[in-house]
Amino acid sequence: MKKKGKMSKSISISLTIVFMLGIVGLVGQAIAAEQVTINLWTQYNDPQDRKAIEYIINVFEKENPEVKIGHRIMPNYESDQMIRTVFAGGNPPDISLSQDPYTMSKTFEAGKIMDLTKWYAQYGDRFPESAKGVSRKEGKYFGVPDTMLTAAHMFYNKKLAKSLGVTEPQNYTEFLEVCEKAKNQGVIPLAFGNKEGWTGGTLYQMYLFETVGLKGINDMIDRKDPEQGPYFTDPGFIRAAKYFNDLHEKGYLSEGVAITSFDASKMEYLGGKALFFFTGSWYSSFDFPPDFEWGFFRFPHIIGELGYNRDEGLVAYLGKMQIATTTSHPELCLKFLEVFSRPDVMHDSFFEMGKYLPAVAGAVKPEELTEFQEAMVAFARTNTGSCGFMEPELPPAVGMGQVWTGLTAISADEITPLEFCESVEKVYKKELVR
Amino acid sequence: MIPKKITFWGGPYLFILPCFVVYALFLLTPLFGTFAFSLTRWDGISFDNLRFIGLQNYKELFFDDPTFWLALRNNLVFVGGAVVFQCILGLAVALLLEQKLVLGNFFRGTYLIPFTISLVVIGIVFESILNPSLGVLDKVLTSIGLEEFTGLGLWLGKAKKAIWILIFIQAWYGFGWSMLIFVSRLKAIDPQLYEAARVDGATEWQKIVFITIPLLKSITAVVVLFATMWAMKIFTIPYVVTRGGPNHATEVLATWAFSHGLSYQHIGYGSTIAVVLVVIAMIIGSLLFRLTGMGKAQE
Repeated sequence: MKKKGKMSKSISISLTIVFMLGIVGLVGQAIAAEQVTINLWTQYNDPQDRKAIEYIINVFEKENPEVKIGHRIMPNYESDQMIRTVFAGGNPPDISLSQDPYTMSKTFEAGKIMDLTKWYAQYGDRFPESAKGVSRKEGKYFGVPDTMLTAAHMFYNKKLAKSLGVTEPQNYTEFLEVCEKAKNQGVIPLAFGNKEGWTGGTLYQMYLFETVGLKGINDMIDRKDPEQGPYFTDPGFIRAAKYFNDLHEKGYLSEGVAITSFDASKMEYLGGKALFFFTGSWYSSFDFPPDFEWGFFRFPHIIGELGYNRDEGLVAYLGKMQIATTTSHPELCLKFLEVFSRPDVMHDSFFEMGKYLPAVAGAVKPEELTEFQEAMVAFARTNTGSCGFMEPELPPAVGMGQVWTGLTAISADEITPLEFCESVEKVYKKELVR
Repeated sequence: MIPKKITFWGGPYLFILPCFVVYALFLLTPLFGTFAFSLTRWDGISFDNLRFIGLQNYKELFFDDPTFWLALRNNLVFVGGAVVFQCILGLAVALLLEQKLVLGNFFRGTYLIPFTISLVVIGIVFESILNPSLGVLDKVLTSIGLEEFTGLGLWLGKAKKAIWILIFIQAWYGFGWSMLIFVSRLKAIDPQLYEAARVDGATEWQKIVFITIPLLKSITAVVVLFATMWAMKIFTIPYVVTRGGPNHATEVLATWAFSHGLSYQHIGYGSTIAVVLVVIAMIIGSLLFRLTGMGKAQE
């Protein structure tokens, strides 16, 4: 009898526990139902970039406890393809980061990306005009830039330069002389991998600033008529390809440049095997910064070329946050962009953690800048003209297609500079006809 | 009890139906969709831009796209390489491992490991090993005095040589699978046949030629078919290791379709390449089916 009472007592306790758990579950479900998830896709792969965006997400989630940011990091090289595909599929994430201005401006025209003009009326004064300009299409805004990038400088290993007995070159002729000296002493003059093609694209554009100038590049980007110039077969474009080819022909680049990736060339430089390293301002954000003293100088101008007496170069606000028009929570997405572009948040995240210069004006005090960042800012302010990366502004089959493939083919000795220019021109013409 | 008359709902069709629904939904529908897209010009941004252009994409593909022919040739080279290296190596290793070797089971498992690893990882690992400046292969060869064999990684930058490195990687990846299939069939051969041959005075070589090889005929057809199909749809290794370069030298139909369809926003043209790839694969598959007598009832 006593045993039976004990048993029924334990059954009652068990049932009560199950009941309580059920209640807790229901309450939890109700809370979860109230919580909204905003999907955010970015390409912040590097550890410091990831830390920076996670910091911003944390700030936003603390201020908006009912909102959860579902963050997905896309692989860097494929991210723009993923964004294009997901927009084409009709189910894009609420907010995404794109580095593909050509497609995204077309996607905006197609009404798939939210018009941020009203948002800019409220928060636009956070950005300098140069940053706003690249986020605008016919007076309407479609994206919020994250950081400012430049590609105007060459980096070098000071210790190695000293041991080779060379100084910073003042022009391109001197630069080639230094390369020759380094090569003769068994040092890779310029660590450069062109397997992916984009590195070649950036270097080719540096030569274009010299041979056809900013106007020539912009005219090429804005070209509408296949029968109207400028053509990739114009002398300036061919000359730039020849300069690009010469570096490789003279043996100044990494061995197997066509099959060496950007990361591998970076390792050659960081490992002290190479004297120079050409890349953009993200150099200062490397996850493994050089453990040697390094210096930098302006990419050397070429005597006798158009760009010699000018100071034109690449200043870009490539990454832009954009909101899909399909989002069910436009207000929350706009709120996220407000947090994302707050000067103090940008300072503590992308500047402090990522070592980037935020696109937001006033996010960083001048005294906080490193020597290189000061040079970046000075270049962005004082240059005689600048534009962003050329390839993502061109139709993808041209810029990220034939320009990249062709430059890798030059690096592999598979085509000549003239054949490269002819092949790009052919594809560009075809694209313009389409 | 077997019903006298098999009706649609009561017969085998009922059992096939769930599979057919999945097949129709996830294979036939995308296949027809891809074919439909191949008759259009579309940038994938907005359906407003979609235009029906008939067979123009096919015309452009066959008559104005040398890269397509290069990619097709590369696919066929991959097929040849897969059959010759992957299948023959798999068979040879399987026969060796059946000789009751010490650590035979260990090797059997070890050779299968590459097949279990992601192709992306394999591509990245080989890229790192072969890198001319930082890769370990050249360092190892130099350290053991084989300097004349260094620089193999540079082949990846040469149009005529790069594909052979990729074929090697593909064979290294796939031969373990071929070996496993051959081993499973070898295990099923009745040992009495070998015993009878031994009594009749057959040598080891004669046993292989007159017993083992004829009995492996049906499974060889399966191995060759699978290796061929994998080689036809190969994508990851060329994409990861060479990105189809240099100058399209290692481009295959799948990477070319991917470049057009997704990277260049030529959805219609990319679909056309994909359709042609499917058709060619189907033709090769059917030929193999016929030539090897697969699908025929066993006597």
